[in-house]
Amino acid sequence: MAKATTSIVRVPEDISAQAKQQIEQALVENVDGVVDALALLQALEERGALPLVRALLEQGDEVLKVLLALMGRDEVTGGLKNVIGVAQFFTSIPPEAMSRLFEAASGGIAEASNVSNDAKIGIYDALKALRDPDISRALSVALAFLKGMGKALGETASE
Amino acid sequence: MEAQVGRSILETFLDRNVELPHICYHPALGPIQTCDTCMVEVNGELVRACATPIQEGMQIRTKSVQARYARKEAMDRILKNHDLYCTVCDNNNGNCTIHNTTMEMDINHQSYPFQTKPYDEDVSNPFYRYEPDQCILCGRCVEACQNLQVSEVLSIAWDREVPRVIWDDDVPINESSCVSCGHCVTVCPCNALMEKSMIGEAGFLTGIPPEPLEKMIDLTKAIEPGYRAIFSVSEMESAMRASRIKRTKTVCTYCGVGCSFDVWTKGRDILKVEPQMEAPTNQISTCIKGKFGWDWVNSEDRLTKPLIRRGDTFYEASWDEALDLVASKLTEVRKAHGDDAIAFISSSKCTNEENYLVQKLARAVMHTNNVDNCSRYCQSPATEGLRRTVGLGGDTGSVSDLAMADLVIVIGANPAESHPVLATRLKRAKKKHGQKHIVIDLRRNGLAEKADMFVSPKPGTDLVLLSGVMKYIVDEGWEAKAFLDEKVDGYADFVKSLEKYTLDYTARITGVPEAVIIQLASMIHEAKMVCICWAMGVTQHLGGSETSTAICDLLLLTGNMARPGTGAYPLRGHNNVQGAGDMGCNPVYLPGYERIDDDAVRAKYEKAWGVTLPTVKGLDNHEMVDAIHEGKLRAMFLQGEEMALVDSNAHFVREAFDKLDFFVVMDVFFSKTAQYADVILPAAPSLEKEGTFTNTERRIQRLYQVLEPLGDAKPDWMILQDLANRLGANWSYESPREILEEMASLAELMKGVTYDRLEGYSSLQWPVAEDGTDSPLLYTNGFPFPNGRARLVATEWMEPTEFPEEYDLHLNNGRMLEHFHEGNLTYRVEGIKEKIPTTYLEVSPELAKARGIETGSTVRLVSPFGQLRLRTVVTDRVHGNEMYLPMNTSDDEQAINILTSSKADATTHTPAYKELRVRMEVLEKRGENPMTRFNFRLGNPNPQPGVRVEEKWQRSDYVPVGEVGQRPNRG
Repeated sequence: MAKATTSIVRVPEDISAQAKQQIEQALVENVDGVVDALALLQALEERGALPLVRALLEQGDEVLKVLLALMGRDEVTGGLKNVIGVAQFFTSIPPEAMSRLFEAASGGIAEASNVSNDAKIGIYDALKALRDPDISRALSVALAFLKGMGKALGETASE
Repeated sequence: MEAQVGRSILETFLDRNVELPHICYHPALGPIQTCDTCMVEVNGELVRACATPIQEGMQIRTKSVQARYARKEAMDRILKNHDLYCTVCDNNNGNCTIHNTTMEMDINHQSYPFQTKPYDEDVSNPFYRYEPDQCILCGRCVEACQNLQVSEVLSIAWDREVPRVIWDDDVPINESSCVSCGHCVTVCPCNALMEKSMIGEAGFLTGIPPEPLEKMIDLTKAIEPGYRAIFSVSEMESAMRASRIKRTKTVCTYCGVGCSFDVWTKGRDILKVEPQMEAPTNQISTCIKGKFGWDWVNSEDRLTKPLIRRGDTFYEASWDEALDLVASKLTEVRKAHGDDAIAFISSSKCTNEENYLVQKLARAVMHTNNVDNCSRYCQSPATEGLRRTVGLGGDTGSVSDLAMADLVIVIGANPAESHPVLATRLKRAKKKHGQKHIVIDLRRNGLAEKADMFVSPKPGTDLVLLSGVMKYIVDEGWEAKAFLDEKVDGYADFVKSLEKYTLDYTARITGVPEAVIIQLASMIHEAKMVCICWAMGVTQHLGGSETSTAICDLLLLTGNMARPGTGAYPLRGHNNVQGAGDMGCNPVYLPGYERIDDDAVRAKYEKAWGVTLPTVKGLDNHEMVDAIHEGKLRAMFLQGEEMALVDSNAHFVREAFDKLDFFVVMDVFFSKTAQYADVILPAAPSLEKEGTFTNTERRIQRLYQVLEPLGDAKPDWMILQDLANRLGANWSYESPREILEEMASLAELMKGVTYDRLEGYSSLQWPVAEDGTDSPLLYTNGFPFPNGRARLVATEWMEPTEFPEEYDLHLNNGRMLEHFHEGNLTYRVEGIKEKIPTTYLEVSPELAKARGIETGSTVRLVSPFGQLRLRTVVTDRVHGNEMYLPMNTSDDEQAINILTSSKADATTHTPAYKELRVRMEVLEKRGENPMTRFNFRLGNPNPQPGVRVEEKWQRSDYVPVGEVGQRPNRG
């Protein structure tokens, strides 16, 4: 014989007890990780890293604004572009070719260190040197490099 | 390469997993031809692969310089319209078409700088936004809106200096005729159209406030080292997202169409609903409810603890307390008053597994056949009509047959609002392929607007109209003689039964002119493939079963059964109405429609369940209410049904609840019905559990658990098992899988149904043979009667319920697109509530004039059973003295069933909700319009053949991608 009713008495939910229970259970299940993590936290605290990170996170949006304002300046974006450019330059060179070039360069440096600072060379000596197969090889590499660079410069100009 | 005739080059490639860039092409939409990214060289000429049919001996070069250059140019133009800030974009989830295509084409630099458009972001719609700056003008959204959903709202204004997508004639989205179905958002290849629920939520960095975010985008672009590097970072970020965004397949619960889709969640937050091409019924289609209507799952109003009534107050309790009490009270009632003093009502919103358990609990544990479900309120008469004539109680074909038919008759159904995705298939077939539509309805509903014929007979006379049409067909000799000879019994007697339905008589009773009746018959005669859809407008009458039978007769008479593109489609209203009936939640049927009074059937179940089963016929819903009033039924267990609002003559039903000794309600919310309960059990909705649903096509589909149950709520199957075991059942189901497979081992109709065969988006349409062969189209090998032949069954017209003369107006009712049923779920979705805050009474211009009312007036409607107070909307969707009230409200001042009677269909006891007359008193002549200006019905659609790409090509600034000079000035 139930008349319609909308009255409900709710048991106040003990959210804090539920949370404590959840935490306790997680602690028990992850003893090693928790102990390690605590040690890590302590180390961070001792070196002052923790307050730093905390402040950064708490002021996240503000810090981000400042950082972006700083990074958005032309000099900085220019610098960043250069960094990325240099990195891309190196990644674009096949590693085998790179190591060959480096080996060649170190050979050249070794040879060069034997030459005294006041050594002179005449036109005739220079022409004679061109006939030296080692020098000729190095020069053709240098010329081929110049050609490639000139070609690439032309392409970027028309893009 | 082998190719299928009629497929395009692009489709042929995709069929064979050969990669070719493409952006505007979408498998659900076909070629749109706006993006130019799929250019290939065919016999030396550049063509769009998406729009060029593949032909014998064709030379196709995808990697020629010309083709590659054209594709790169096309992509450059797209990136001019789209800022690539993927890492901080909420659409960076691995499925962004632009991102993926740019990567696939290995584009490293943008040739044309990105340009903003002079338009603001449109955030007016509660569910999605449009950001013109990100829009590449591919027109997928337009194509989806114009030709798949066919709401005809979106178009691209190509004549502007800077083109953009516009809604209607360029109004804010929320004030347009947009129905918020989500098609446009789903097909958008980038983040231009996006679910608001995704914004700031999907990415790790996307929640950053706008100002720093903008600066970050600028910085990223300033130091832009080429896209490869950006993409590596965004790919990493996208991969990280996968760890916290879960994608789970589910099946929609808002109507019988049975759309399936992925739900994206982050914790308990629903980020979006993403339909998939492999979804068997809907592919990428959704409606406002399926796409955006799920926020109620996290509503604070959810029941999260069992409640026990003491006096006039409910107290929270533990599951043990609540279930112990239910078990002891039910046992008490059973001992004192007998097995049949208890009744069970299952829910069409619950899974097959849960429905199976409800009837098993009733029969095997409580020894009663008093078990029913809400198909009693809607489609039982349709099932009856089908069983009498063709044998099985389900749609005879699939949605694909409806799309294929050349004539679809929709009678007493409003699919544009009640079965929205199914309606899109009809609207598309009409617009794209010239399918013809005949709508027979009191009200000029969504499909009627554009139908080839709209016929509005007098209320309750459909059977006469159908019979008149059949008599004319027979008189003209148009019946399908060969089909009838070969496959159908009862022709001679049936023709005799049609005698009285002469043109003159039919016209007189139905008010439909003779010429129109002849035209109707002629159209049916001329069509090769005819389908008939019907729903509550037919079934909720005194003669609902009779009219349903007449519909099947008409199809048999004209040979429109058992062939592709033909058949009978009683559109199921709720997601699992079909399944609830299939599972035996019915006083006379066990699962698979096996009769409880068949000794062999009973013996099979008795053996399987290890019990003796009751032989007494059980009570149906309608009889249960009477039995309570008579004092025979003393306790009731009700699963998720808002009977206090949705049963007819609501006051009478509530008085019955008052009289119960013990009443248990399982629900997700504290419903009106729950207010009468002694114990309320908090159930978990579909998103919080596993199981299967069966849609209107008899298609069984799996849903996977998206979320954990909220609070202490539990899936119904677990609750039922816990209760059954307290009553001595000793069940030990570990998962719904075991329940369904037990059912399949018993029901002949479902023999081959297994969870494995339903994995992911796989589905099965019953009957399912043991080897897993299913039946998308029924009766191709004969009808399930002893001689394999269908039956023409004579029918009897029943005059509609009479009302005293003072009730001078007819009141019809039905659904609104935006809301579901009584609205317990959808009014808890903020965006839907903003658009449609309340129901309203539709009044014809004639009636409004006669009574001196206007849109916004307040009237009182009075029937012999109750009265309502409603705001009016004057509209020519209704005519004369016929009014219409959407049933979607839980407000007793507005709920239709306060007015309806307890009259019902003679055979199935489905209430005659549609037979209602009232009188009207005008309370206030002037007032506020109950429709907000965000109601799509007030918008002005802008029908277009499609995206009109020709207008793009005709623009003075358009140069074909292949004709751009060799390296022109592009700085």
